Amino acid sequence: MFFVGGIAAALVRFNLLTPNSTLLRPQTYNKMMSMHGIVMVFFFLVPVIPAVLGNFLVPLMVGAKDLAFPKINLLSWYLYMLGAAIGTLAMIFGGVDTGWTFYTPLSTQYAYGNVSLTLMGAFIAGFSSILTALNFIVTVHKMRAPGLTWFRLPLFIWSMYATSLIIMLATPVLAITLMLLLIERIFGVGIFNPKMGGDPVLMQHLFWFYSHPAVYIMVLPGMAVISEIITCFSRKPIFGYKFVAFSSIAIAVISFLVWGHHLFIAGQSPYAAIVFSVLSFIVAIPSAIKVFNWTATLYKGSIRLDTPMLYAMGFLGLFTIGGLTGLYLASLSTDVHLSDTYFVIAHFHYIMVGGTVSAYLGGIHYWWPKITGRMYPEGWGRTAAITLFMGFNLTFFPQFILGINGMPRRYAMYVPEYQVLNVLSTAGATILAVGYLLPFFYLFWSLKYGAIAGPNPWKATGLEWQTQSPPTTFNFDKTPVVTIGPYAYSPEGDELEYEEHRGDQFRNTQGTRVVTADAVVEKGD
Amino acid sequence: MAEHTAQHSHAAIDHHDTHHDTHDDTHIIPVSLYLKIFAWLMFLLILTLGVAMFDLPGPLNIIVAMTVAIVKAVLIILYFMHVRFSSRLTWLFAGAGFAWLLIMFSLTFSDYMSRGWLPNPGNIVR
Amino acid sequence: MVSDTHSGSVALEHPTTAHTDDHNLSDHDHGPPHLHHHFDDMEQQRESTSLGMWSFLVTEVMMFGGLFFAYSLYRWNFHEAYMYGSSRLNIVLGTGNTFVLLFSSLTMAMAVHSAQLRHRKALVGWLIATLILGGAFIGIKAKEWTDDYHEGLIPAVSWDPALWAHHGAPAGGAAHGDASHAATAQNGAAHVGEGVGENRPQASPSSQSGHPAGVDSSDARNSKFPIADSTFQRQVMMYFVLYFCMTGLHAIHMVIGLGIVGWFTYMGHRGAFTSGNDQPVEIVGLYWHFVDIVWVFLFPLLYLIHGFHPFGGGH
Repeated sequence: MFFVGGIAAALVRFNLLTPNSTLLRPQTYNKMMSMHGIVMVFFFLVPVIPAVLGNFLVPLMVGAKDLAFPKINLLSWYLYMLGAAIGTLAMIFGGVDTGWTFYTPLSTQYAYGNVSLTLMGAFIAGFSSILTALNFIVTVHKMRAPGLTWFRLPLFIWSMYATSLIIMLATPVLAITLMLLLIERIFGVGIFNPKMGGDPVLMQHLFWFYSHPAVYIMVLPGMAVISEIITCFSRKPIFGYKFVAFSSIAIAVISFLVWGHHLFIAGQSPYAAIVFSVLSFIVAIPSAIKVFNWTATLYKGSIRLDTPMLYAMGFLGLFTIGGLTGLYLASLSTDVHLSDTYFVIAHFHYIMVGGTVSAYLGGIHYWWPKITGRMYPEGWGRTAAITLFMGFNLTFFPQFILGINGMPRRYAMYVPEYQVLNVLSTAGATILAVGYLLPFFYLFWSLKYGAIAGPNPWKATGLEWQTQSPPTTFNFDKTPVVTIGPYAYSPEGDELEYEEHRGDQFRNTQGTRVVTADAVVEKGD
Repeated sequence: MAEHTAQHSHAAIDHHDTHHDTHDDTHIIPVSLYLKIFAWLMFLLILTLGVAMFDLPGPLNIIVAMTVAIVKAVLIILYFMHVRFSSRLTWLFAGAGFAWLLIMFSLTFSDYMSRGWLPNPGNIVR
Repeated sequence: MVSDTHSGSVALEHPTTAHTDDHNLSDHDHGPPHLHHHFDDMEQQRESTSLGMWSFLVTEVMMFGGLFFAYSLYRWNFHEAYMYGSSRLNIVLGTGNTFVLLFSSLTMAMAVHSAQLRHRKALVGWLIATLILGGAFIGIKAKEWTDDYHEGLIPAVSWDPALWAHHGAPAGGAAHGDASHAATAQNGAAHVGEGVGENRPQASPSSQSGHPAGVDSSDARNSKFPIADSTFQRQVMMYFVLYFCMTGLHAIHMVIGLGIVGWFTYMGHRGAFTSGNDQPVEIVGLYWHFVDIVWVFLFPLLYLIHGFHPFGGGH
């Protein structure tokens, strides 16, 4: 689905090379930008880290044999497939041009295309999300290994737990909103149609009540991954464990109080807008706490710039920029100018792509040996990470400038003054695409030809590294008993061991050498 | 060796299960309590209708009606759904849903009810 | 093992060797037969499944909550229309439904009780009772909706305001706080136009006119409402859209519940729940009670807006 959304994005960017929408007709452009948003939000960013990494890692990290409800997990997967299939079908039949936000009355009264099908696809995918979250919550509450108290859990679990809380509380509201949209579109009744007495702002309230927490659903798992990578690759325990843990929960709670900042120019009352603005400033605080703590973790650590760490470093910088620019949007007066411009687009892409996707790729690389039993080629990994970082900044930084200068979003055409920056942005997008394609190729390559990885090639702490790569059916041979907290790294001690064996692990990629941490064990258990 | 005992003690729990099977949180609610709660629910239903017969000033009608409904719901939750005898975690989850509903209602209504309070230009009505 | 020196967080032996313990794989000789493999003991399974159902119910609360919110907003704005819409519902049937559902909650609780005590026949009996009551609820709903269909009250399906005037309403009733509601309706109508900038219901002043106090002719209810006014009709349609959405969603949940209860009746008859595995019945019970609670809120909000006047006469 990521590549489908990516192709849509490519078409968008290429169309924007010229001011007059010469590549695509405006309506096709609208369909492309809508598809990009719908696919990326509903079918990629929301499910990806929980489904790909979470399903695998949550039971491992809590020391359980499986998630609490394996069959519900399977159902969640089938529902996702069904939802994505229906969404794709909608695109094949011509797509929608409403934008991923389905604002009324455009989506219900005037839009051509397959709004209903798309709504159904998103609706079903939402239930997939809810079931996964339900599984995670019960697993974390009830299936922790003996000795694994809440404050011994890896921060990955805390963030995934917080994500699951948000999913459970927000997604049903999306479900009902999509259902009401469907009813309005199919039956022609006027729930949100002003001509029939309805209120389109109501739809926006209900929609954003989900969609704002949704952006935290998308970023918290990324933060989860970062906590794990930064500690491992600086060989230091996390700075301020409890602060990071509680800030995940704080983000989950406060994220539900800020949705009105998407309605500042929609006709919302100024009093409510002031309240939402203040709350939006407050929601930035826990995220900032996390960034400070990750940065402090790096201090006096023994930093290894392997591929996962490169992605994590990218995350730190790009997420910070994205977060700070969010404050401009939270501020009422500047938002009036910046709303619905490219500034907003740059802001959320910095967080979603610079943040979540970077973290996702970092996580994929970090746990690749655990999931597949193989190592990826490190040189290629680093190349891809750096390419992504460069391409990303070239793509999206000009968009901040475009936004401040007033270029509106969702427009196929623009005044010629904006062209230079648009061309830069498209050039960056091309580089970014290379950064995405590279891992696709070398990761698949490594499945057959990569060096075989042992249980713990990174010398990481955490229960998932104490079992085989890939793990056996019931994860652990014996139920682990946990006696100390996570991240028991030490820069000095590991420095030496790491150096000694790093060469072994990454030099030979013919798949013939078995690299396990047993090599270290020879010194004596 | 200590770990072995830790692991095996986990396995050697079969004899527990038969005890736990017949209990829900070690508490079975007697039938008489169920019947009492049902009687209260019937009374509250009649009360709902009764209150609707009167015309109370202002928004009191809906406040009273909702209060009665909430009492009914609380009775069902506490006794029929066994929350009264359940762990605090269950209480937390049961409460969280309604708390979140409260967030949705209060913040959204704060928008609708405060429209027109400020005489800013471009404010459409009033 | 390196894990000891580096992490110290796990006390495991030789994880890379295939050192299987009796605990894990496919042997069944520990624990009761309904203990799933990935759980350690029945207690954990019981608590997990209960927490799982409660989590699911929280999502249901939020889902219905969205509808309740939309309902509240429009009720606040279109109070007059809501009163009229509500007056077109059959309170007798609505009350009957409430009684039936509350009773079914009792029978469901009794079924759970029987499962806990391992009384197979009692369990089946109570489940059948729940089925009958639930079925009665659906049947009454079907009757109500059929009546609505014939009276032109189902938006987009059989919406026909011309039929409303012929509705022979029982005597009395519309003088339910009219003055205060009239004022609210006028302000409320203005609210809708706000933020949208169009469709300010022009007819709002006229809907307040001509409220004869204490009239109780048989068409009193209808005559108090401007049912011929198209704006008013649109507002009444909003009421009915939400009415059918809310009761429809509720009915879907009821039907699903009935399906599960029916299946459980069969399984219970075969003894699946009376040999130590009563937890599924408890879980379904939670779901059933939740659906009941939703109705407990729906009933006064949808049926009793205009008041309950079985004996006629205005106030």
